[in-house]
Amino acid sequence: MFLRLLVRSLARSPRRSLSMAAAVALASAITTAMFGVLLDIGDRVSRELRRLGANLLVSPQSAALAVQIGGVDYRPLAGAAWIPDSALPRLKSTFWRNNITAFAPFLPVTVELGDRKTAVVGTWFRRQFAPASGETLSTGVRDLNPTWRVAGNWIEDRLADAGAREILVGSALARRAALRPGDRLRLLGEDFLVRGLLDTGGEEDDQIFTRLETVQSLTERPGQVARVQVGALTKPEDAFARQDPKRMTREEYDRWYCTPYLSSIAHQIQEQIPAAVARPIRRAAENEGRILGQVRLLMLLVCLAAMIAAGLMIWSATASSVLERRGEIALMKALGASDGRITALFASQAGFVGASGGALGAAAGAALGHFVSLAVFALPLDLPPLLPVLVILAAVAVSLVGSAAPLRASLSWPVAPALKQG
Amino acid sequence: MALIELVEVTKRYSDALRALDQVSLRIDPGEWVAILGPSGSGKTTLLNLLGGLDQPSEGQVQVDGADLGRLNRRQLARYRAETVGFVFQQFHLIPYLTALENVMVAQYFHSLTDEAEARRALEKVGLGDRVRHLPPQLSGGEQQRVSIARALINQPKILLADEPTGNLDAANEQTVLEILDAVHREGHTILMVTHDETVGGRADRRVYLEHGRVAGVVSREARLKFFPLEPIS
Amino acid sequence: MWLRIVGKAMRDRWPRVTLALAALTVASGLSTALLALYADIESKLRGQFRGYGANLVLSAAGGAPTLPLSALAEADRHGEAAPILYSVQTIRGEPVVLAGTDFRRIEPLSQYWEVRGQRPAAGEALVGVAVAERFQLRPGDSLDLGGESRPISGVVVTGGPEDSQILLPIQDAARLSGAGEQASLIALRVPAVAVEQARQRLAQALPGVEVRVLRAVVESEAGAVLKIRGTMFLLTLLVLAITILSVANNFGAMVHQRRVEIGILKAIGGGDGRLAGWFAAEAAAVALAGSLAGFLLGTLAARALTWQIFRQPAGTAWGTLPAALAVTVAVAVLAVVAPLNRIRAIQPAVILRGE
Repeated sequence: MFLRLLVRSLARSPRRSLSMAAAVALASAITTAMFGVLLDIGDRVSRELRRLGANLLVSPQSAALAVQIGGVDYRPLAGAAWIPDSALPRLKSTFWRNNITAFAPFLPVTVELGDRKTAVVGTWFRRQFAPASGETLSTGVRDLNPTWRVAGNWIEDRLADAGAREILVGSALARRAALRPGDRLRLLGEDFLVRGLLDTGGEEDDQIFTRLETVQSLTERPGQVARVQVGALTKPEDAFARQDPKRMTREEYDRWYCTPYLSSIAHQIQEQIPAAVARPIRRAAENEGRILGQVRLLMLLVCLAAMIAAGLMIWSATASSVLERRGEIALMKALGASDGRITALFASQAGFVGASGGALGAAAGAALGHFVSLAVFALPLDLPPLLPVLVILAAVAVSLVGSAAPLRASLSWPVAPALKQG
Repeated sequence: MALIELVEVTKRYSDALRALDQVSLRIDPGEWVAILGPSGSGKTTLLNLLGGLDQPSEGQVQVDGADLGRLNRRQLARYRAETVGFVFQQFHLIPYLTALENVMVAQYFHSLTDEAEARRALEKVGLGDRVRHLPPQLSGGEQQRVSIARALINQPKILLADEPTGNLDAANEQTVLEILDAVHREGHTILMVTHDETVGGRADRRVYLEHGRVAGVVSREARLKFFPLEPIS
Repeated sequence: MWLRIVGKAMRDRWPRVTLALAALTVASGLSTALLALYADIESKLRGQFRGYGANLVLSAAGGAPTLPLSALAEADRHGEAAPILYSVQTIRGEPVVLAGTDFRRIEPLSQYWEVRGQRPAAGEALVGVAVAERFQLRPGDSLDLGGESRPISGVVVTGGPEDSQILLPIQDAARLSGAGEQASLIALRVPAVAVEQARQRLAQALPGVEVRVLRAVVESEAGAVLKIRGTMFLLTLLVLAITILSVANNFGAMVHQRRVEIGILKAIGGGDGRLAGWFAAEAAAVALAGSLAGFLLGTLAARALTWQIFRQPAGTAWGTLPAALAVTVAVAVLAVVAPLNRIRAIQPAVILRGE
């Protein structure tokens, strides 16, 4: 009987029920879309900012003081500290391997070109390797610096070409030395083919790049790397992260370890490569952290505002709906329904409309958030399934709360005048 | 010259449901006609057609020479303001306006409001001391009297009453019927829908509807003629 | 007369009118706030990206080691410029890179530096953290440079080349290296949108100078700003659309609630136009009040949010005023127009039959 009453009462005025459901749906759509985008935006913007390049520098612990101007090292090579290149795959074995988006090793050597000292840098361009986990990954300067451009061709980084003598020449250097792709250059006692000209806008434009193994073999430093640049997605440092890990309690340490702060990632890299020290490159790290923090805060506050607005919209619709049905309530009281029965009926209706409107709105909101994500980031929305569930629950809750006060007021009014008003 | 003429009027709501079926009727100026019949016989539909609230599916509804089917929405609104006055079973007063204001609204839709005239209309129905009351503060009978005052304020040619005493007790019913009597005596044309034979007996003519068709017509004189023992009102 | 009726009608239904007003204020406020934020976000973000420092570098063309300091004048016309002069000096028997600069000029380009202590005044030096560790130096210690003893004002940590350098005022560095009025390079920050234009103008104005765009900085800023703006834009549109729909829904529902009343008024002769006018007036009053209140609240909220997030005052509120007002007026107009159709559609016969 109750169910019948419920259905009849809702169906009695389909327009009103639909109108209320529409209000709930619209409010739920706003909330779902905005929170969906909020949850993703930190990661998305972070990836965008990572195009800048490395934010961590890994160098040998016992490195002597660098004497470099414009990337050219003025110290003699002998006795320089190094990191073993066999340690490189271990970078992807840390807890935060998925946050480390790219890295590249560097081994520079200074040569005389014409009358100037020039750096020849051995590195990975896009090298495939197998970390402990077994899958094959690839990384290198191309992945670390997506803004680098090459006129001509990149150097293919296959192991089979270990003996190939190919170089990329920085565009400024190439202009001065009148070099073009296809030309040959004599370096370190060997002939090299210019595969392409590298254009970055930075000091790399004055340098020459080749494969890591080439420099290693020509300078008799097999298996050695001078430094590694790492790019990692991080959570902005807050007051908690700035504490000295040695002074943290066990719990605090675990929490710090399991949060992708730059300091925590650096710490774990040092755990994997004991002879090395990892330091943040502040120009990238500081700005990224601050901007990400602001963007997240902006989205969060906007979301909260939208949530409040949505809640008020639902409240308004539900309360209005109850107020409009004073006559119906009076009639039911006149027929002998107890307050409890009437409340149960209206609550069920509010709950039903809240749930169905909420479900519809959450679905629409997810679709809209998806559209926004595709349009802006060309990536699908990564929606946690819990979000729509929470939105629907919230919609039901607000619908119930919204009808509570007017319902209580209506129940306490005298029956006769309300009946008259119809 | 008939004031109202229905010519073969049919009103269909669906293929199966015909509220009115080929009804023809003539009503002269100054007549008081009662439409009687069981529920579902089409009485209210007939009234709605005459009030310009509805359009016939077939046939013509002519009032004061004009074919209502030819009028556009604006003209129908004017028709309702000028030519007819409505009295409903549920009174249908605007609940947040006083009795006086309810009457003035009808004036407003017609032309200009005239508070004195509206007051006089209410006095005529015996509510001179209740002009500032709101409908919830008035009894059923009083509300209906306000409704009548509202219906007549613009001197309409026809008064359309849908079960005017349906919601009233015996005493109030008498009061309202007496007012209608007075209105009739003044020369107004009244078309009244009712299910009550006694109430219908006050009219000049009774038209019986059944399943949308005219089942019979009885004139008052005829009734008086054939049933002399019935009390004369 | 009609003013009386409209006024009484609103008073009679004041709880529902208040609820409608509240809903409209909220919707309007949210839209206004979002619009204001969206209009401002680019300038605020670009301000934040200043922290990355230089996005252009001027060096001597043809591989010469230095360029004249006079190039600074031209660079100043486009943005914030600072000269840097490198040389290699011997400290306690070891070679160390010396970087001379104008610390006032380099201040805005080096906000990400962590300085433990102070930036140096004339006659002082700032040492990189690796230098400090190597030679066991702390702020307050003295360093012997080229025969002069310099107090160390602080230690700088950047994670970049500065960590291995000693930084001092450029005149002192020039004297120590005998370089004269020259710089190894000039670092320059111009507003990101003007980078290409600045590069071209500088290349034209300074023929002996090579102008490089630090593309990594420029492109990552451009990408991030574009995406954030794009997100804000679409979300703003989304919220606008939804709030317009909900306002229409709300006001349409209000008409529906009063259909019996409308049916009565039609039955006693009220024409569509007149009734529409009444209800429009009522809706307009509520809508205008709600829109204005929402506009004020939304603008305040946007200012508060901007201060909270960016620690900078919200810019050019006047720029957003026309747009925000247009939106709120549109919402108000819609609130008024939406019910009109419903009023027309109400059939008195159907309503008064008691459905």
